Amino acid sequence: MHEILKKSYIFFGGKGGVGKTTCAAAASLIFAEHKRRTLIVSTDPAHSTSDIFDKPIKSKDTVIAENLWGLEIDPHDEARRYMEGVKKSLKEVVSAALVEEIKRQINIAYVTPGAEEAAIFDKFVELMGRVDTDFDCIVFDTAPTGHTLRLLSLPELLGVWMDSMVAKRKKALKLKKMLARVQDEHDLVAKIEAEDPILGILEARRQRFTYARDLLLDKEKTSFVFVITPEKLPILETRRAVTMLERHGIHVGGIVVNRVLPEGLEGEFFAKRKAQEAVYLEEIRSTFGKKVLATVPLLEEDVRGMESLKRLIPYLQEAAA
Amino acid sequence: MGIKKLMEKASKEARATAKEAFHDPFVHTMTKAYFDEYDQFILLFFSDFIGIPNPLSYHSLELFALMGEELEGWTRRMEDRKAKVDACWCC
Repeated sequence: MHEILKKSYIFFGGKGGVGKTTCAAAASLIFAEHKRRTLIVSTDPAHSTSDIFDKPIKSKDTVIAENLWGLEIDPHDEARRYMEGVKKSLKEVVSAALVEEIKRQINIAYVTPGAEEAAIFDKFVELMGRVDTDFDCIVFDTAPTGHTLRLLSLPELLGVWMDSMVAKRKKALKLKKMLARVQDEHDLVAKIEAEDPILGILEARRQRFTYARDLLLDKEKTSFVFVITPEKLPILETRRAVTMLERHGIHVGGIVVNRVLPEGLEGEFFAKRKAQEAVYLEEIRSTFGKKVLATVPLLEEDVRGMESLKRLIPYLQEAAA
Repeated sequence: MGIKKLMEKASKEARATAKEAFHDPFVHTMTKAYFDEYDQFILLFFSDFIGIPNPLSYHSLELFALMGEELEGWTRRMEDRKAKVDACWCC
């Protein structure tokens, strides 16, 4: 865990139901105990950070403990704010006849597939920019694997898309300028040569994507921790996800094995489960090797609220010792 | 008619012919090239307008205020295209 403690952006991911939120919450407590100003952010549209801390966490920084804040990204809230900004800027520029049509389009865009994802992504980039000023590190409690891999690959995809849009815009402007020249429209030439506001917006977007991508690929600052349980499917899914992240150049900091059956259980049922678990634990060891950071046992009670989260800390820290 | 005037007339005609033969087709081609490029650009952002789903329409919204007025002409040009199917958008 000590390597992870130095990072600024720590992602907790894994298959649904393995205990991502629990481990992320316990880890964020460790960070806060180390006197690092920590923000725990849930990027899963189905949030459960509030539930694990047993405390309402809003879409703004919410104090959880000393040095620890929480935030749940509300995609609808973010999208609404963005759309309102767009609608406001419309009032100044566009002719009245078109405003209605455009407003209609905005409302459509609000429900198109991808809008929620894009809203989460925008907020995500905004939050990354708050490290060093407001916080020392951010722990991301992410959505199940597929959703998160997509979120992390967005800067790459959108960056490429934006590059081509910038190139297209430049080419169109060049043609327009040539056209204005041969038609002796000097005013238009001067206007085109001045700064293009559309290009400005595109460039700003592109910079945001590049910024996010650079941070995600920065091994010194960013690390991804996978949570798995000693079961077949989480192992398989996590192995694929690790391969994919490493192929994208994202640093995988380690694996936390959650809900391992404790020693000293009696009865035939538990003996059988324990034997089966041993097979999977061996598979985890052979698959992930040194990446395994910590092993957290199955507790006799649900993990909910501060006190029970604190019980997990020694297990997560064992690798640090 | 004096020789000077005759020369002037000939020169004017020659210029008109040259304009017709070289300048006008050039402007025409340039205009077409410009609109092709420009329309593609808009299409990639605002294809939702003409019913083609665009997964990135969310991010393109912020361009509305700047490009809104140009969308009207664009929609018209899109609708005027004779061969919608074999128009090559991607290359």
